Amino acid sequence: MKPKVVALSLVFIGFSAGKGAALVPAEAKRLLDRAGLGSSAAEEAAYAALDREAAVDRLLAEAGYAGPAWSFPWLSEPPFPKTSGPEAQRERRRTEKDRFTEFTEAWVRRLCRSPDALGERLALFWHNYFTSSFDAVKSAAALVRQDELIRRRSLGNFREFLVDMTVDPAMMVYLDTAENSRTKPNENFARELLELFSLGEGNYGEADIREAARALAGLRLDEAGAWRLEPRRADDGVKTIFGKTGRFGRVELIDLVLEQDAAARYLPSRLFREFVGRAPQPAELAPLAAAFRAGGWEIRPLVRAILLSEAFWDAADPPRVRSPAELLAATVRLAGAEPPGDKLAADLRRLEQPLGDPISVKGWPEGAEWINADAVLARTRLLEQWARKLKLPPERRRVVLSDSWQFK
Amino acid sequence: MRKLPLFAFLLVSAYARLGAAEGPGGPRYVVLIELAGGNDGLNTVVPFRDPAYRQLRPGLALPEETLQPLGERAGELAFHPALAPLLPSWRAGDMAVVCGVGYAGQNRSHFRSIDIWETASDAKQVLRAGWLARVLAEPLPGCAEPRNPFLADGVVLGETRSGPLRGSARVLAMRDTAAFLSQSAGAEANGGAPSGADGEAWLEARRVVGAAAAFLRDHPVPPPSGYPDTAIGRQLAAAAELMRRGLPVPFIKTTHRGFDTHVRQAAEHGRLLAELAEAVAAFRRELRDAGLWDRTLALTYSEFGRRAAENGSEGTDHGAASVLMAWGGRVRGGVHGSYPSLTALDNGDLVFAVDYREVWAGALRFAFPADFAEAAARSLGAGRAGLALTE
Repeated sequence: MKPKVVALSLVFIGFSAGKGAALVPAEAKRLLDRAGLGSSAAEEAAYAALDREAAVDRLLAEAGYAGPAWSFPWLSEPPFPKTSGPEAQRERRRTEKDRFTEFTEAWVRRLCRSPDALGERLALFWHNYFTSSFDAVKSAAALVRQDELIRRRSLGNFREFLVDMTVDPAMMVYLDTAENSRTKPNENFARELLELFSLGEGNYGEADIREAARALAGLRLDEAGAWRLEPRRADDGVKTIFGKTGRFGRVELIDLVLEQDAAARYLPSRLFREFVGRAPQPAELAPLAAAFRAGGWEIRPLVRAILLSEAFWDAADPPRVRSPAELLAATVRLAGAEPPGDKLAADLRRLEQPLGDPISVKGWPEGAEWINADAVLARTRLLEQWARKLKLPPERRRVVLSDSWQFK
Repeated sequence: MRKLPLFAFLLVSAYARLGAAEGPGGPRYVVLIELAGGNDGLNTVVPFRDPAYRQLRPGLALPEETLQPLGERAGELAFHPALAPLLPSWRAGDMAVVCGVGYAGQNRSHFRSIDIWETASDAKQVLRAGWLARVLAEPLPGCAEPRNPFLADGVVLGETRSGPLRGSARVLAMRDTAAFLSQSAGAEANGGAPSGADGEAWLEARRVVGAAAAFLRDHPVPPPSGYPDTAIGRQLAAAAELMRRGLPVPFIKTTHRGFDTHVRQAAEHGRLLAELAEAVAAFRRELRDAGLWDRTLALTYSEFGRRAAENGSEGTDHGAASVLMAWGGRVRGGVHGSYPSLTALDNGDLVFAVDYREVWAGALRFAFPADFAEAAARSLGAGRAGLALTE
């Protein structure tokens, strides 16, 4: 080959593979397990040719909208139609349940098949962060809309995400936002907004919750899932929140929340736990928090920083148990086959991770909380079923049924 | 007959050494019955002579002629008629009613409030691990014995949600013994669990499955009989079977679901209480026949009671303080505490007088030797006086 061509080829390879050392195969696998949902041998090989930065950037490049829009025919119907009479209500419940099943089974298929595994991981994270449950909301269409909001905002701007979430129909039903009025306050959403969605426990007072509820009072939801602010139910009086006084409404409330120191730390801390598997040390959290605030609350750079952190790549960090969704998706991706059946959302429910239907506002278990004697039995049993339906060859079957497969 | 794995044998003997085998030789059991949804205590144990009762509930107040008065010991209280199957237990003195149980700053969200009860937190705290998981995980100060000599921390029946046991890897969940034994075949460790905390927890969970399966296979008993064919009936039958086999676990959790009676409460609440009463009566009968009643404490709990006044839909909304009920051979029968006032309400709710953590402390005192129980109760924030639920 001519020397110039060789030199140009080397430059080209150097540019696309990244400037640093290429990953070893174990690192590629670990990246795809911990930042994604497992991998096939081919994917591992593709990532192993890259260095850390290029590998993370490739994952992020795929992570866009996290899938095409959902296209269920019933999505255009009003999410909260009025029904009266026990027979009509029973019929409505059956319809919603069937639709919810259709949605969650389609969601599981995406977990197993989507090329955007990081996006799917983030969607799961956000559903576990901004929780709402089908059991309480009772509308499949509302939950799909919330999922669409999550996927749209997942790597975008966190301030916009919070503002949008205050009027998301499923969330409004789940945390009683539409019940909250000036004369009959309901603090449910205000409390979770501060405690679980933005600041974390200990970083606000009871008075802040009360006044935040006032700022959120008067929102109403119609059958079509559209929100409006009803002046007679709203509280336009003067409020004092976090020491500031004014006639704050919901958008001003979000900005007041984000002014608090804790706001820059809370989401980074939770994302760090999601990917690294432990709480961050103060020295690890501080730069993430500073950059998050300085950068105007953009989520994508925050995720990138975490995925490029020393903590994430620390080879000495012990293996961590997979969540049920990760276990299923990793198994299917290893097989490179169609998902094993159409009752997989039900399988995940059996393993204590019901998609779209967490048992409490705190969401699904985390980390070692997944592990108990029932998990051991139920995961083993389901893996055997999945392995059979995936027609795994003996060697792969042995891999997925070994204890080490439970970990990433 | 399969030999008991060494691990299980050591556990059982350590358990005996801990002295948890107090009283008539054998381990003690606390059986928790979660009344999920928020049980209306005011219509369960009824202050029927108080005129405020019928003023607050013109539609829902139970007709006086149907009520079962508790007798002189219990002042002016009566049972909901559906609790009639429990009258033998009440009259024998092995049923307790605790009035006004709740906590400061009542949270009216199902999710938050049951979490509070099950994590023994204050109303504003968020704790992840269940109170039992915490108590059984830490070596408690002043306790010389191995911290956790039981085969498992507990068994969850009916639902897989661990509640007070959440966060413990040593929790078994099953529908019943037969289902568990058929599922646990092939649960032996197959090697490959990695090092680290998660890997060790996984192995521990596997050991618990293996030890439990071996123990249950080695201790067959006649199947349950005489139980109603309801969800709670099946769970209490399964609990009693584990107890008759002598499975070395201190706590068993069951769930009776459906108490969130916002709309047309009368029929539904009556049905739920009837199912509870029939199941507990059968449970009591079987365990008395087996000589286990003195080693049993069964205890209801619920995330909250209901509001004092009925709502506009012939039901009741989420409230605060409520009653809870306990049964067992060593239970100090009768009414504990005084019934909350129906006129001095807090924003429409009954005011609590007994912090729910005192009830947990009472359960700990029954299940464990004194020093272990006291240290555990203090770690939950329960006071020293506590509720003397049992002798």
